[in-house]
Amino acid sequence: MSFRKRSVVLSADTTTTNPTAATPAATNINTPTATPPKGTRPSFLTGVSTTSTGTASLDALLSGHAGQPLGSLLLIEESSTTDFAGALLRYYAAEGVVQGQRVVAVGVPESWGRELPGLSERREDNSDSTGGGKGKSAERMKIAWRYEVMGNRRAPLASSEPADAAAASTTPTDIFCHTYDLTKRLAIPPSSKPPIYIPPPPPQHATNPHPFQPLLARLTTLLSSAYDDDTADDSSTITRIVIPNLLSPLLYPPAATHPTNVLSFLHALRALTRRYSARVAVMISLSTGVYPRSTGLVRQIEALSDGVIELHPVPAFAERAEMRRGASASGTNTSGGDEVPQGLVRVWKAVEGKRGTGIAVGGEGGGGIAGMEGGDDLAFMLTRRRMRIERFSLPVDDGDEEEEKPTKVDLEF
Amino acid sequence: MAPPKANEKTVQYRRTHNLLLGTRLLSQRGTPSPFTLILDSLSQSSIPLVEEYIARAKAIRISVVYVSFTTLRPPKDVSKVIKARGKTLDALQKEIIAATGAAAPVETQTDAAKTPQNLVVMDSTNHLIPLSSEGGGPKNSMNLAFFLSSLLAPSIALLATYHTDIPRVPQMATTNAYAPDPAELLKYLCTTLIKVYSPSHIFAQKRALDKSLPPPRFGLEGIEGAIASLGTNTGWCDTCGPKERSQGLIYELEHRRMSGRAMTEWFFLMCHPSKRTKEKLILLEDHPAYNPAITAPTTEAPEGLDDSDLTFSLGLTAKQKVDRDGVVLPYFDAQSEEGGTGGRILYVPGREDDWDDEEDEI
Amino acid sequence: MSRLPTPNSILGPSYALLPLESQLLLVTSVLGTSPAWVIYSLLNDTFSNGGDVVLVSCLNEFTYFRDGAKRHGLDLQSHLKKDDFIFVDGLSKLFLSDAGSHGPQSIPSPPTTPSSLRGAIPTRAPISPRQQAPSIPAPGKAPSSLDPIRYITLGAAVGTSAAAIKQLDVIKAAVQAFPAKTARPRVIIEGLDIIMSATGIDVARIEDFIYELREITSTMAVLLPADPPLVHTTASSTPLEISHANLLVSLGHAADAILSLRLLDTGVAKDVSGVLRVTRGAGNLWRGAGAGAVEEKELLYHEADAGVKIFARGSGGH
Repeated sequence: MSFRKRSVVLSADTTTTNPTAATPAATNINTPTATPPKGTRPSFLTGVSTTSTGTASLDALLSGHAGQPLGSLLLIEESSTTDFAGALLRYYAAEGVVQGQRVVAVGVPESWGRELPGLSERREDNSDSTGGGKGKSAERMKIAWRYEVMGNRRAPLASSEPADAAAASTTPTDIFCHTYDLTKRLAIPPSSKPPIYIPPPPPQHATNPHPFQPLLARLTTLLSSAYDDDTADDSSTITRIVIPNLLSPLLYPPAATHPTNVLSFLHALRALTRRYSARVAVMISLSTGVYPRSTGLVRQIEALSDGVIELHPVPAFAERAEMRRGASASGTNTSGGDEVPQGLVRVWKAVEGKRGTGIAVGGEGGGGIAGMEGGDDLAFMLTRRRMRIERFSLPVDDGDEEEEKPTKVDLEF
Repeated sequence: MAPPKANEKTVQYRRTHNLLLGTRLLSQRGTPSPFTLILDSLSQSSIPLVEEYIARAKAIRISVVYVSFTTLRPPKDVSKVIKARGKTLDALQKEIIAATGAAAPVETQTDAAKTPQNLVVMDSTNHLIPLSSEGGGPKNSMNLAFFLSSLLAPSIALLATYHTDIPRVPQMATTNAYAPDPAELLKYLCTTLIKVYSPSHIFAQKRALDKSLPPPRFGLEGIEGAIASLGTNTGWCDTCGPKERSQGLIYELEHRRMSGRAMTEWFFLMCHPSKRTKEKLILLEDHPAYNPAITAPTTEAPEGLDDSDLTFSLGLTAKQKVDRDGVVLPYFDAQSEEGGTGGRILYVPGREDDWDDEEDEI
Repeated sequence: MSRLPTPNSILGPSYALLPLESQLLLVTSVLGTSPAWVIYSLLNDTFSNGGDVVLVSCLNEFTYFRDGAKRHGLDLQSHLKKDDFIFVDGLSKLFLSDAGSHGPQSIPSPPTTPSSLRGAIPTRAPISPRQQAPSIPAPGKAPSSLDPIRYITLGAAVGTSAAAIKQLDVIKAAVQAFPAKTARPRVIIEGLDIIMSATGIDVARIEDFIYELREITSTMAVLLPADPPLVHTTASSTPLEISHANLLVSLGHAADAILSLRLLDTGVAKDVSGVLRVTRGAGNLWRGAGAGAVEEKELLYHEADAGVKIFARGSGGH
């Protein structure tokens, strides 16, 4: 239902903007105070435009921005052969599609996009009723435990909100981050464009010394035709670039791993995010099982990224979950097993809080790396419904739910 | 490398012989060493030692030719600076020979056989190696051994530094995989091999070893992200300022004689001459920070434990030792196979012990 | 204005006594630390002493530094318009030639023509103001508002390392472009390692480049990462790692001071951003090098809205 309403709004949106299409897009962009593009909101920290990663608890990890700042490049690493990072990237792509953004999937065949998760149908998930939704989001926001500082920030924000809310009451699409259901497949809304696919370097070009050149050329063309041309009507649309499994031996030829190829590609990608800094966001996944973090190449890839988050699956956690599920099968809480983390999350490089400085999280809380303050570990859990990242606490073995509950601080919102 | 243990027995001999040899090598008098190689690292630079060499060479009017690969501000005392960057090995060889030949032989009559007239100082052999054929230099370039031996005339002494912690970029295409590593070749060719260490690092390691603690690690092996440790290039002195103090360092010297005998010794080069000996160079063991037992190096070291002023004897007579061995300690034989008869645990189980006659036993 | 620590407060009070000639500062950092404040500190010091400075970055664009410096009370934009600051952008175009030299598709050509982008600059010694503004026609607040003067974009260095070496010469030409003064200009370079590994330039060539720059500058600050994989080499290390370690340690041997930024060993704290360690480099050891000396120290630093504070461990910094 949230769906239908959104499409209505979008059409309304386009009709209103189209008549004024004479205004050059550039000016529109240079004054971001005008209506922000769909799916963006100003960062809670600095006011820079951010967009959601499609995973609410990942948004909360991003240095207090509560979203991925546009013009940044996120690197998701995964240390085993599992594909949790793939799930994150699919959420990311799905969020882009739902928000009507331009999604560019690089290096994967179209089949990748057929597995994007669908919107959750649970009422409270993608609820768009203004009053309830606002209150709820406010409540959820509080749970971003990491950023207590934002508690103060929320006050002025909330006070300025009623005006927005009034304006937005007819535009129920303002949900910043949707909730997805992995068991469903995303039906691409009529208002959105299907993802654009840039295929991986063809295998017959295995000897091609520059496997990234065609990818880069297409990306550049795509972006410059969208944004460099002032008359393009969609120059206010956000572009999400998703690069799953970068350098995967199954997708890329061996020559791709040479620093002169992959580093120059990432350098160019970084340059693109800076050139179109108000319109482009990138997320890349890389397997640190094949390319360990202890190699210089990966360190330099990380240096070229704006944020680096590693997923470190711990199979023992899953086994424990199985055991617990078996134990509590007769119990009342059927979701008990789902609450067990599947691995640890490490933030190796935090997205810069205030650009150009090392200030990570606003004013008083300025550690070098956000995300691990106080030495807390973070854990992730992928359930049927969502991916969550939360503070890690060892599950209690004997299934004593009462004891376990209070120790968990829920990040979900 | 861990510092040596202080050795009471040999120190007196080494104080006279090795220290003398070390001083002569440093002053380039009497004992010739045609090729001295100094190994240094980020933790301690060879520069204070090189400066000492240059200063002493100047004092006896040896002309110093400084071959600079990386140094932009060469020391002031040198007679000639050759910028070696970007030159081929052949050109460099010609230039060095020209510079050393040009220096007119002075005072040839006084111990000419022993004292070279030219000291050639090279600031980084790491940058020399890539020029040679072993290091993957340009084709038909000279090999390193030939280059060095061509320089070594009796009137020339070579003092070169090699930075041990700079990894060499391998040159697959041009090098012979079976040839010795150029760095090893340098170590083989030199007649005196010196390794320099930072005093504060050596002292910290010594203190840890004295307490049987694992020695701390410094430099690149120290804390992640900090490529140099504290105490790097700082010297060790209570009286001098930071600038002067850093002229001090510790070095391990290995001098190879023609006879095959080699002398190995650890020295401490102080930042100012010792008041008593008027000499900057002392044995490492004679430094109070390294060996607190040594107070005055030249006074007769006390023999054994001096217990003359104690009111009791700490020693045992032979009979006392025998008696001590004969004492049977309690429970000794209770631990033998049969259990013995020597001891028994007397314990009455109480109610709280939940004693079970069938299962439990003491 | 002085919310940034001065080089003297970082390197010791007698640092200013050193001759300002061919100084080399090696600034290392690890993933998760931001060395940008050291750059601002050096820039601020140069400007307040009336010196000239060139900032080269292959990792970040101008707006990055502009925004960051502004937070610390330094207006780079105005200095760009004056004659004492040149920014060399090694990010935007280095591997992203709009020229379509390799792209088969017809790329809607941006205002800049490729020919003007290449070639012209490297040959001209004193760089005349670049006519082309960095061609970012569409979004982005950046370059349209940027005065093209004193803003140099490195051209494309795709493919061979020869093209990249040409770009190094552009940097050198930029330094020489300053009118001769009594004091030589300063140079700050960030991301040289990326140029090296992404273009495959030989490490010896990079070292030569730094040497050549040192000959014509007063102080040169080189910022390099010092993450363990890039420093610790074994027999099985990749050429990238060996080259990086080679460059880093070679510069460490030539440097006057090594400034290492790292994270707090005990984890993340609210009021500490990281640890700054200053050690003396070999270049500072020569007796004849003047009265000044770099003083080794280990300090904590905290970067916040109120500026950058450096303070001794335990002193709390308040």
